[in-house]
Amino acid sequence: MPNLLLELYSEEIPAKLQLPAINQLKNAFEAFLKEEKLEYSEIKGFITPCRMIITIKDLPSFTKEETIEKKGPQISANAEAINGFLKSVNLSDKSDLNIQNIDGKDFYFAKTIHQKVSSAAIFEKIIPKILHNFSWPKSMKWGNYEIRWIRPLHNILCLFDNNILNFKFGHLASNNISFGHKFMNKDGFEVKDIESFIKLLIEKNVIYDHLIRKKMIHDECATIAKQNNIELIEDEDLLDEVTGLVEFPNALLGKIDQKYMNLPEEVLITSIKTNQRYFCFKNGAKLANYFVTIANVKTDNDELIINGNQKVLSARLEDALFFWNHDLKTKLETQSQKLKKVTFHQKLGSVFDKIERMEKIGFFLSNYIKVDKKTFSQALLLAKADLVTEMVGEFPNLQGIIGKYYAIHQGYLKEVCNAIEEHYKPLGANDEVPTATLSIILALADKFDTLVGMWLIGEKPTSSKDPYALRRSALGIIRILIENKIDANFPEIINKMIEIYREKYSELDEKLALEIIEFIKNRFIVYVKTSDIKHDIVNAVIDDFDSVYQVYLKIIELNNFLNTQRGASLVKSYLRAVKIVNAEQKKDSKIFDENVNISLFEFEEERIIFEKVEIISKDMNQMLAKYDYLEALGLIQTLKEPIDSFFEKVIVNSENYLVRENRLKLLTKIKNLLDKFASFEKLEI
Amino acid sequence: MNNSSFQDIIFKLQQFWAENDCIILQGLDNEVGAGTLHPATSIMSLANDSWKVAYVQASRRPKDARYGENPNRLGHYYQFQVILKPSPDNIQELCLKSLEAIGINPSKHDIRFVEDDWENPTIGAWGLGFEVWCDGMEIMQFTYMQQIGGISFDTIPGELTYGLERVAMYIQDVKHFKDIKWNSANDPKFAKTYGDIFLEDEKQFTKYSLEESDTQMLINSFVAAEKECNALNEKKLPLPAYSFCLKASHYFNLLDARGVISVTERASYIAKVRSLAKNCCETYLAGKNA
Repeated sequence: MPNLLLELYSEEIPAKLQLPAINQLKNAFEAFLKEEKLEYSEIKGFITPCRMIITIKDLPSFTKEETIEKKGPQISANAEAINGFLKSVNLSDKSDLNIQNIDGKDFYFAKTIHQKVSSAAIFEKIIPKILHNFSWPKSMKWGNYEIRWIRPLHNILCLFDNNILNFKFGHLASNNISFGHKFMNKDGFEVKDIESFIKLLIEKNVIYDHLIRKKMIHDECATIAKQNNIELIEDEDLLDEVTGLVEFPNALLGKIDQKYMNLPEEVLITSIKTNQRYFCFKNGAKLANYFVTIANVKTDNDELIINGNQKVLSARLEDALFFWNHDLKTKLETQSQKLKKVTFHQKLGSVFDKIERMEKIGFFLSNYIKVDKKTFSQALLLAKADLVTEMVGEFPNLQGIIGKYYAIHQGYLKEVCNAIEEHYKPLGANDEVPTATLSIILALADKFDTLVGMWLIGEKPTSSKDPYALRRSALGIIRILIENKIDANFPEIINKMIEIYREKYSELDEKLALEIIEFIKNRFIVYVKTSDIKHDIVNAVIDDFDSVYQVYLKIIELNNFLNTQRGASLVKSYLRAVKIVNAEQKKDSKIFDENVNISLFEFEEERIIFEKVEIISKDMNQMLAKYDYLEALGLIQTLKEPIDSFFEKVIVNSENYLVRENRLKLLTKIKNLLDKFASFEKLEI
Repeated sequence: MNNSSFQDIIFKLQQFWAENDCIILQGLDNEVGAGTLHPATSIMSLANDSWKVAYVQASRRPKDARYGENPNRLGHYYQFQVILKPSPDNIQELCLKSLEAIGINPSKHDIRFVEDDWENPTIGAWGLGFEVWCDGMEIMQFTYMQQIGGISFDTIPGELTYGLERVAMYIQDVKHFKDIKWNSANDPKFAKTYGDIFLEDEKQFTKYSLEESDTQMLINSFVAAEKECNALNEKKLPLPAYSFCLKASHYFNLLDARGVISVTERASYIAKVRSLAKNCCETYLAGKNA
């Protein structure tokens, strides 16, 4: 049965776009084959930097002849409608039509026969459509041509049943030609069928199957590692990228001059991997002084290529070494003076101004976390000094890391060095928070300063843009406080931060504090969602949002509480009581207070509950003040039996007006007790 | 490798591209940051459908100046620039042949065309193309220009750019730019290195750009150049206008190198220069079509 072979030969497709592109092409074919009801045994897609290949096997030479009943108007329709239908199915007489009854009505039906069509003819029409509709994230024109593609498309090979399938895409006419490896076998050759095509490609040094090519690269690296007693540092992203940079992989081992190996590992890895796309290795715990480059050729003197690569890497590392030595000539604290010239934001002054503000808020934060002020001031002076170094200028993503290395080198206190790197953390949802006190205060000071400052000048995040990463700052603050169990008061901190800003910028609006807290609150709600805690529990606790750590503890305890039978049952009873109170308050148009008159009790159950609540109230206040949520809930829990008995025995709506009101006041007293802990009313049970 | 001197490389490239129908021009007599800003690229390639040109262009990037101490970094360096309009189908092959002409044999090296999307926002230009790597080092770039001065091309020019110092260091196997042999003389007294000729330049110009420039003068000069450029476009003299656009761009580069421009100000300066460039291109095209 006939096969289809398509190869699009172009200039190099960007590595990261290759997999999505071949998938898109394959999907487009699959969709069209389904629509045309063409059966096949398999469809495959292959991609190299220069080629997109599609093979479809065992297609029919013709589509099936199909008889279709086309539905027309009702037989009672007017002549115009019937004639229109006759016309649309190429018939002249309504006696040629069938009649079928559907749901009690008679409709005209016409039998139409779809003749079999040659599959080749269909492909000839459809393939240009697929190519015209193909979507690249970016596309370009070239020469004098009309078509657009990711890079210049030079040749289209297309065979159906081993004959050329003729169509045009722009100026390109399909043919039966392909090309070998651009550098080793670049001449064109004629293609007869799929089997011989892929055989020739392999002979001409084109590893056309990207999955095979990827595995080859990985295996070659692993083999080299083994031969040299080093360990390959696995990197799936790099592997994918490199697979997209070659048609014929040839792994070559290069050496790194030992004099560079004392540079920070992060600097080495950035230069080797990120800039040069080489694979790195480990020798025990340290980085090995080897790299592997995947060349796209095999020559009779690969040494030349290795030397070339070694030279390039040396030049880069020499640069890094140059920066390292040059930077270390100046003490970090002197470097930090240059921050006076680095703008933080046009409306908020320099980075040095930021540091001065961070010192003030940092001192304020030491109300919540004890830190030595002198050490803090020193750490502050150094924390951002690396921003003006040559090294960070060259490797901006290494800010903080470089600062730490320089500080260690220049003999600053260990905790200060660590704080320089750690104050940027957490860098993402999966990154750790700082746990050393100095790092914590620096991190909080930095984030509060940025968050409040940006908000004050109107640089708030929108649903689509957050250029100053304020969401990340807020989440960072939340996680730092919670994971370090720090009890800090947001309104106090935010107001103090605003006060600090207004010392220099008196025009900034102090009333924005509420908005900022609301923003942090919303980030907290998102954060808690990830722990599978239901939103109603969060809602019940969230109103009192002064200390995020306390709120978090409350949520955890409340969640645990509600997962117990006693707890859930108690809350059900509570909600029942609240429902009654609310209904009666509405009926009476009044709010009940807590002033219960014990002389109006008719039942023992009323007295038991009353006494219980009195005792618990006193203890409750103490526990809440000490943040003893588990204990507080334990106390609340003891109300379960009394409440259950109460509802069993006592009818709230006594005929006696005074007794009724008294019972409602009792229920109100219970409600108010629980409300001290959380807005239980918001729970959904 | 081989012993091509710096000027040999230039001669060979000029020869090669002349043989491929390029007119060989001299560099522009105005400070520019890249060969693309020469009107032979920026304006002529918009205005002409058939246009092949090659030239050496001295490029000034004050921000990259390092007193001549950094082995790989220069505030003043040379680009070899080629424009081929329309871009030929065999442009990659021509690149490789040009490398062969200067002594880099593609069959002995690992040559790669690695994706590069290029843009120069100061003249509203962008394109898609490649960096050409030779054994891991980028030695040239070629770009299919899609727009210049904010104007889209119907016929696409291919732009090739060689970093001459980088190429020379690679070919001559030297580690510091100052050791590049500029010429190969019969009498060794007359054989000069790059450093012999330009090291002092680098030192003095770095000191100027990073430490000594009069920033107020530069700011005033930017404003004056901007004003003159607009005035000359009004008078339908886009080519002299463009020379002032280039001056404005250079003053901006000097201010930037001095570190006195904030992030938001930079965006504003770039937008201004782009607007000047766009104006010049549009005025030129309008004049040509009239």
